[in-house]
Amino acid sequence: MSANWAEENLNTIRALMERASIYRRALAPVSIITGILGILGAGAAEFTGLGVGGSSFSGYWISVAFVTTIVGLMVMRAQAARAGEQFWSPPTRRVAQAMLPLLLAGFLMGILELLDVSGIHSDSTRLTALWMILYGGALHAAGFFMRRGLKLFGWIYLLLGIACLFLNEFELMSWFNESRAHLLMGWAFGLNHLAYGLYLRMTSEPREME
Amino acid sequence: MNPDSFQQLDKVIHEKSRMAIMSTLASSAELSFTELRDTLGMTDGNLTTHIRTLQKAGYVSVSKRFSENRPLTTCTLTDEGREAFGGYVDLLEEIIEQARGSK
Repeated sequence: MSANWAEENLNTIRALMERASIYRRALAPVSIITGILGILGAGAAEFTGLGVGGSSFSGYWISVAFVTTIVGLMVMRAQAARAGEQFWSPPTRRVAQAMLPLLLAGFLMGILELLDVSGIHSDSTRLTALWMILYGGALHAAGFFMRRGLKLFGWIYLLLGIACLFLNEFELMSWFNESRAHLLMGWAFGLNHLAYGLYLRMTSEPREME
Repeated sequence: MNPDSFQQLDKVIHEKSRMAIMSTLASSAELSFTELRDTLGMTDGNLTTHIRTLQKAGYVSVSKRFSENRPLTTCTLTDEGREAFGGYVDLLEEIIEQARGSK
């Protein structure tokens, strides 16, 4: 045994203590709420006949994402307060830092679409597919600090996004077109989150020890 | 470096899996069995065995109750466990300090 070994052990202890923080337990409720808001967002857009393409689509979904983020942070904060734990803890900061670059890229793509800069305008289905890819990457990055299922969830987004991009660009299916972009958003960011959140809720909490 | 320091390390905690369990529990008021298992990537059987060892040493308390009509097992560090874990970490730091001092 050596001092190096002692240092490694100490680093492992620190890493494990950080990883077990509150944001892990907030994952299920945050996913469920995100899913519900995503589905409601898509339903409202379809119900009101909100257009796709141009600034209305990106503007609308950036607003939905903003509201969802605020609600998610409030849920996390409430859970932290209930457990008497720190909300903006070092591990939470690390997760946020890991996700930030790709989320920022997605946000900026939405802003470009919102501004409808000449020559940059793309169809809404392509934008949705790219958002899925970037979001999948962000989740995968966060997965290094959180439960293992999150990396897989990130991969699912990434692959589904790529599949959507191909379906859209090569017009492989007639029903898969821009007119269904809001529904695609509801499925991608609503249903998928809801399913993941429910899965976490059903499998992660009440369980008998053998 | 004092070789006695290594001998003083708590043998119950001084095992990779049990050290991981203690570290994870030390940062939470309480964790469910599945949360602990998922965090550490251990099997149910392996985790149960180590929890029992820690329970026998008086470092971890396990409680069973019902939540939403389903059994819920939760693990918590006892005061004794928190103290032993603190002592273990202090000793590791001491070993590192000694090594730095002897260089």
